[in-house]
Amino acid sequence: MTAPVELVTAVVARPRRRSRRSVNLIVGVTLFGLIAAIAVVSLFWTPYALQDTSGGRLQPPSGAHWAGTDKLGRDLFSQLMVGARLAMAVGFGSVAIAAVIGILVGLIAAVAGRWVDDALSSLLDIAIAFPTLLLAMLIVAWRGAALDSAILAIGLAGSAVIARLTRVTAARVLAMDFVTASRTSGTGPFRLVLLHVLPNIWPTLIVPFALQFGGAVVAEASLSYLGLGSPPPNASWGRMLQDAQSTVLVAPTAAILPGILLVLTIVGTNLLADGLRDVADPASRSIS
Amino acid sequence: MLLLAFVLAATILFVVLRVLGNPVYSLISVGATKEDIAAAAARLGVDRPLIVQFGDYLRQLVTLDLGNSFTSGLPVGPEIVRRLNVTLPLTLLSFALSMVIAIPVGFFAAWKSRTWYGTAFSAVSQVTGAIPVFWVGIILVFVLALGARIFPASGFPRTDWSDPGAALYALTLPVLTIAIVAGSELARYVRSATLDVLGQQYMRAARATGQSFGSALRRHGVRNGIVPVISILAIQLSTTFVGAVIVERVFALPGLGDMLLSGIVEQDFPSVQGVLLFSTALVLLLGFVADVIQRILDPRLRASLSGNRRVRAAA
Repeated sequence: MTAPVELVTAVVARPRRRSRRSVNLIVGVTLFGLIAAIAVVSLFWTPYALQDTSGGRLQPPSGAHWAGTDKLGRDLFSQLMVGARLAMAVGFGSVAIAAVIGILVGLIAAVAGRWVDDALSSLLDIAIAFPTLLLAMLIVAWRGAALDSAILAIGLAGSAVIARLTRVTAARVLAMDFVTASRTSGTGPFRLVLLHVLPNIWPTLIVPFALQFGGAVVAEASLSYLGLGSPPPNASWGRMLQDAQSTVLVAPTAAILPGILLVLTIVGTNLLADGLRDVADPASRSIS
Repeated sequence: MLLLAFVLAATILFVVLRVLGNPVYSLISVGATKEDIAAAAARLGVDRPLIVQFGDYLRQLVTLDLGNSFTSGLPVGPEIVRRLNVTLPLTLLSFALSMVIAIPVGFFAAWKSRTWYGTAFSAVSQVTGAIPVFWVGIILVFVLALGARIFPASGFPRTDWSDPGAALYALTLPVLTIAIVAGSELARYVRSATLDVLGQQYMRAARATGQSFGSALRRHGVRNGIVPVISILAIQLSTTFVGAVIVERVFALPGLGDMLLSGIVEQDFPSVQGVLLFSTALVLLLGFVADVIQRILDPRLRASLSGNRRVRAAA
């Protein structure tokens, strides 16, 4: 099965907003920076320890507990902060996995001969058609529910998209005159990729990386919501939502705040991606 | 090609679930002796050479025999069919509703892109596209089921589809949940496809020959714009299906997603394998159908029946 070409281009060429590019980038960086800052602060300080159940059950927000407490009496604000750290870990971790595997496979397909290229491309088409969440469930069924299972699964799922984009972009760079010039002057394939291909495909890949970051955060939240994410005491926004669902009438803030943070993170990374696309223009525009 | 893809996917499932994972552990309890483990392995047939197991597995696939559940002892195949009673209507209704919402909304957002409507659409879709589907479900339950008490918060009637009214009533909120999320994503694609078409020279040429805007759109615009949208629709149907897996959890619906999740938690390995195989086959089939429809709609793709890759490389 061959997934249609529009898939790649559709991701790259979503509606451009040239006139508002600075706004996209500024809002995106601000939102993302905010979540990242919360994550960093949570490393050194949270109002309460995660296991501290001294607050009383299902308290509404107050001076002592800014976001209230959950049904075990744990401080929700502290959990939200740790949740930001987890989201960052998942985002960076899975994007890193997708980048390493995806770029490697994509480069091999672009540099290697026809047969390897054909085989890899068909494989990638199948992999891309496979939904991230199903893949993640498969990996959880194999390795058990844990943070690294989730990161691995989400990263693997993302790597197929990166690989296909790398392959197309790298093939285009390899066909350029300056690469031919370098090749005729005796540069080996390895150095060729290192010196000329990698620096030139980077601007094209940065946008999908930003998009995948947001996607990874949602995917992890979904897994955690389903009870397949990292087990307690790690506080994931997804699991907080699952916990809060049964008590939504008594303590609505617990069911609303993690969702708002999730949305802010994803909107932030999406805007960041839009902004980056406009800035890293020439290379990404030529793909679409 | 489709068959090859499926065999490949089935092989990967086999490798991950049986070679890397060990189904024996799901049958034994803590403190089992070596003999217990060996007995369990013999019962499952996992003590035989891998190649024999693999042949067995492929034979099972061909005969559509997915084995029996560890927990209930019932055959997995009929169970999947029974669960589809919930999941299939849920998926299809959500998909239909998301199209009904998304196509006009996305089209007008492109058509009126320079007005307040277009701007509002961009802002709203940026946010709705970012909301995780289960959170939409929780909020809808909070507002419409627990707050306003209009719809049930969870569950599916025992009467199943013998009482269609009750079944549809139970599915209303889940369908709405998926449709909101899937619809906002679809609307963005429809918008960008429409924007693309409206900016094309052939549209201007058609108008120059004296055709009205509507006529130019019908005769030239829709035919070109629909091709990328079709491919997105197939992907959307797949994501709707996967969304159903999550939403079933939110609303405690006894569908395929519920079967998969409890299968993973209880390590009921035939159930997990069965549901994943079925889902894979469905996703691959949808992609294949989208490919075929695209070729029918767009003669330029038809010319390169085997050479889709070359088209892509040149694109």
